[in-house]
Amino acid sequence: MWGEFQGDAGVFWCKKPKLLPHHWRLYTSNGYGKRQSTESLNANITHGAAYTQMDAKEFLHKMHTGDATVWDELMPMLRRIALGACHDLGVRDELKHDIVQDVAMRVFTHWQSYAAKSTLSTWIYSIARNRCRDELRKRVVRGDNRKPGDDSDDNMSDTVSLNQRHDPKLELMLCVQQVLAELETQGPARKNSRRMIEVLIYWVEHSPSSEELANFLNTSVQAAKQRKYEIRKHLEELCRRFCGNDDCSLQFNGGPA
Amino acid sequence: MNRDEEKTDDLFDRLAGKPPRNDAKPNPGAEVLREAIQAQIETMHAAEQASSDDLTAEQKAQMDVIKHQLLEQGLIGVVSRSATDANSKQKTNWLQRLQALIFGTGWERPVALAMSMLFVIAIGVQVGLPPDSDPDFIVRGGGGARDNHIQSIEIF
Repeated sequence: MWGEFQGDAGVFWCKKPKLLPHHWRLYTSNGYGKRQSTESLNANITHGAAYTQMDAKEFLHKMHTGDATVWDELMPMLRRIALGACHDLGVRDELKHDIVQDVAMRVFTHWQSYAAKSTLSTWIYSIARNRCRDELRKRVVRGDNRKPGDDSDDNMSDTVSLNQRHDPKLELMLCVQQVLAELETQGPARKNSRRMIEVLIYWVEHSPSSEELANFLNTSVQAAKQRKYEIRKHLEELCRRFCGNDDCSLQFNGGPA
Repeated sequence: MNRDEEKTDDLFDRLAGKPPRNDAKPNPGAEVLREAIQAQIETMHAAEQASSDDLTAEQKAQMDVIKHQLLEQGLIGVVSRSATDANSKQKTNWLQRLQALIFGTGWERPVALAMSMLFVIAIGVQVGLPPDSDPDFIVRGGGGARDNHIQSIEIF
């Protein structure tokens, strides 16, 4: 659960809209994490408006008890995630409404498979990603993702490689999203350790130092380096599986992209 | 720094949006991976701020259509069968929970062991007790025991 708070230094998001302990990690609006005293923020939290979204426990409780208000509370977040996920994958067209509907159906059909191991929004995002990925895959297979200039090639010889007519960026996006979807399904390697996808998201969001990463992983700097190595090896394996290349860069016409 | 460390640092530098340390080859895969994760982060942050007040009347109407479909199909607003089953399961699950505590490694283990020992002893004592005798044959007081026994023989 996240709340937005207006502080002296900008807009902050933090977990749980209540008074914050001093060691709490805050997130600024530009996406970089900062450790900051929360004394000044607490006053703003007390008086400021906080957006609260439904959490996993509340969602499961409402679903178990047949409380139909679950839709009214979840809908804004679900809609934003469904549309956002498709936008992230480059699916931006009139199908948006159908996709929101499909994601909603999947969420409320498969809610019993949700074990609350990840946040509710992360789970919905993974459902939305899968739906949008299906759409993207269809387009790549149909050749709908041709570059605009390719229309002039209608009388092109059949001997021309199929890949030449495709927008490589979308194909690259498709295989990278397959890698991320696969990572999302994987649990932690060890008990009480972070999942690889969590480490990657943290890394991209915060660009931490070795010490900060070690702190995030609750381990030593050396062990954090080893974890990075393990993640790279695993990423290479997934890139090979989905993109045919160690570094997730697709190959076109027999050469590097 | 060995080759593996270099490759790892290079990938994580790219994921962090930093330029590669050496004259490394371009890596479009890592760039797209970074962009995809960044987009996901931004979408999640935006979703956490979403409110129904932001929707237009048309968008709200579209969402209402979905809500009615969910209600018609019984996907929301219906008490889950698993919820009713859960109560009955809870009654049988105490044994599994006790088992988990006994074979666990936490501080609860000795307590669970002691409790289960007490439980077993209580059952053992209960089973080991003689069945209730006829009150007429219960002998109270040591002195008269012999006489009572003789009396009962005489009756039979």
